[in-house]
Amino acid sequence: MAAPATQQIKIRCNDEKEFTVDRDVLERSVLIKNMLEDVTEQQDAPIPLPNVSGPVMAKVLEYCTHHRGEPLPSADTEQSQDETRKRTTDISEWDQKFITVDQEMLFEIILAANYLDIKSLLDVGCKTVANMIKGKTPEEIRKLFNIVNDFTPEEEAQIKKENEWAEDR
Amino acid sequence: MSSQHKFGISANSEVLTAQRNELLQNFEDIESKAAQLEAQLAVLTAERAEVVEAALFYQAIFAPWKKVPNEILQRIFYWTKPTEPPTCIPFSRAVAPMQLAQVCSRWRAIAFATSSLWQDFKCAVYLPTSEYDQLETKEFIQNWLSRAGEIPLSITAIPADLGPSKTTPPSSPIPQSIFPAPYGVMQSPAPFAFRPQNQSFPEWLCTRDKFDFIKEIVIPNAPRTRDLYLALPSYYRHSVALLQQEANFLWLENLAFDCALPAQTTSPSLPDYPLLKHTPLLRKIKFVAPFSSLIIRNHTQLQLNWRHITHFETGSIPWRILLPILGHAKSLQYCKATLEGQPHQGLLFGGNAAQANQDPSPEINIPFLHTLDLTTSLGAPIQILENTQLPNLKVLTLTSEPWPDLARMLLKSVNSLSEFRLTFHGHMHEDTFKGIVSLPALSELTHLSIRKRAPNLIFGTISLDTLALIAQGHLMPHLHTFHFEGGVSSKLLINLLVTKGFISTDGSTIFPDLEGSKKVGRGGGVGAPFQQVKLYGVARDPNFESIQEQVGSERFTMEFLETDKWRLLNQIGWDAE
Repeated sequence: MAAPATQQIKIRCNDEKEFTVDRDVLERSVLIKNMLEDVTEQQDAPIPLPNVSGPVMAKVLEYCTHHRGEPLPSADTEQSQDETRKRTTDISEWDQKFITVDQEMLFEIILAANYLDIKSLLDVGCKTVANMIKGKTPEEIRKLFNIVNDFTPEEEAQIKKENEWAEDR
Repeated sequence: MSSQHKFGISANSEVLTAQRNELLQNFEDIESKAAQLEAQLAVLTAERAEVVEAALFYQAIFAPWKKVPNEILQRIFYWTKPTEPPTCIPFSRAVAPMQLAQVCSRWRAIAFATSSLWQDFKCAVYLPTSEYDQLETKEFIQNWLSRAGEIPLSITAIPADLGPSKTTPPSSPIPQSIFPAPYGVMQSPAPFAFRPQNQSFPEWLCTRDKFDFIKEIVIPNAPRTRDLYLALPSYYRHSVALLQQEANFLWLENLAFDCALPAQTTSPSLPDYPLLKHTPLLRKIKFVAPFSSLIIRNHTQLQLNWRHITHFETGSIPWRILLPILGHAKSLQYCKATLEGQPHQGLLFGGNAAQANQDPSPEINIPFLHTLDLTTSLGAPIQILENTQLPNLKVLTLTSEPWPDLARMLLKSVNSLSEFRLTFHGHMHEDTFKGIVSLPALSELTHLSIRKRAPNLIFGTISLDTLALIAQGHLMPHLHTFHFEGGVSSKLLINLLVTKGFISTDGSTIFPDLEGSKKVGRGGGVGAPFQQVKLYGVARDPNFESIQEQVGSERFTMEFLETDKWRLLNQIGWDAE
């Protein structure tokens, strides 16, 4: 007996770009999973995703396809990881290669992962940015992310005072 | 000789005047044009600067990170926290959290609102010279800790004299002998702690002033402290008292005291009252210094709930204290100790020797103990292994002189071991050696010949028959790390390396004078081949260099200096003489 065909779901991005994707791939997104569970009848209309563009969704789907079938992280695992303080910013080789994109795309992926509620992808994005920050001085961080030094004179004075306890002031 | 100048200047004065006037006119024209061009350039430069500024402005406005909401930035900031908490005094501007708080207003506000960034407070406490500086430092510390909100704190404090200025550039790190490498209870501050240049260790001791300063950090935050690491040489007893008398450490889970004192240092005596009474959640405890230096006469003086302690590490501890602790610590998972003297079973659970003869001590059962690391300095039989039920012991590390019954005791008591590391010094009888190396769990073997009167005989007593057993995989089947110190017979050692497949080529080819290698055969025995070999304090031998060339210096290490000997001497407190 042939295995039942995987259900295909249509989604539509904010630039009208449409994707037809296997349900189990899309269900890496808790948002879409919940939407699908709420819909009892089969619907042909695509699911609108107004906060994600086509190119970003293509990247997200690439991630979801690669990680399909893996267990979704539960709230318990997240809590126990925090409790044991075994934080690591290590990223798997495939994920590292996947997330090697320009800054624009990197932050778009993070925003999409947050909107679609894909925690593992959100973590990969956040860890990547965190790794970019690590070891850099505030001046280097400003340059890297195009950040304007907008401190008020009061804040500048505070920082100057704080830096009396800095080893590399 | 021609009167004509090389630029065509004539000797005729009228011609010269005309030429000069023409040149002056040309110069003025050029100057005028240059001025016009410079003015144009200035305008263009100004315009370019404006455009660049505008571009940067828009670039900053539309910078990709700006679309990210605060809660995601907080998440990113969370991941910037170093795995090992950095020092807060002095802090680095390239390390979170201060790094993040100095980028821009928005980042500063988010960093200050992210409690988890501020929960680890690690400082090398110096005593600021002026009262004003002391107040400022206290304010800096209090601001830091208040940003952690209500979440549990990890506080590490060590004393340091940083001189007249508030901070000092990183200088020599505190020697590892003072803060030995930790193993999982709490991380040592050693990599981050600095002591002032040109100061020897005794000058680096904690003073009463510094202790009071540290107290003012610790006490107000006691109710929300989860991890506490205090390294207060000469004031550690006060530190212990501090836990008892003045603070409410209801949430304390991990406690480490580094009380290492240089020799001949006296310290104030500890008042006679129960210690650590109000620490109901304490699970992990570590005394870096000798337990006895805490002047604890018996385990009841430490009013811990031993039943809940899961990790216990201490420097030198008398048997009479350790055994009752083990008797009560039913939740113990990790135990590391250096044992003092001989065990007197009669002293178990507060008894005495006379009682012991009539009423033998009950057998100790530690159901969850996973790792046991014991060092004995006097070669005392480790009777703990015979009198203790350790059904879940997986990792056993012994540092001791070998004794004849060791192998039998190990086989009887700890057959569930998955990893066994043995460090021994002195002579081992071949039968004992055979027994030990046949343990399937033996993964690491270290021999340190640190006593002058003990000859380095380990392989001097091992016959070629034994080597043959090793080659066949009957002995040392899972040994992967082999450390050796002492004047081993290089022939026999090389033979061993050949039989354990460490040297891939036929030993007799490389070392033609080694008849033994022919007898026991070459590498590739049934058991696991050696992965790594370290030799300490061995006599220089050209054959060792040949081995290093063949297998590489990472896998085969030779140390002709006896540094490790001194490390061990320090560890077990022996007189170097």
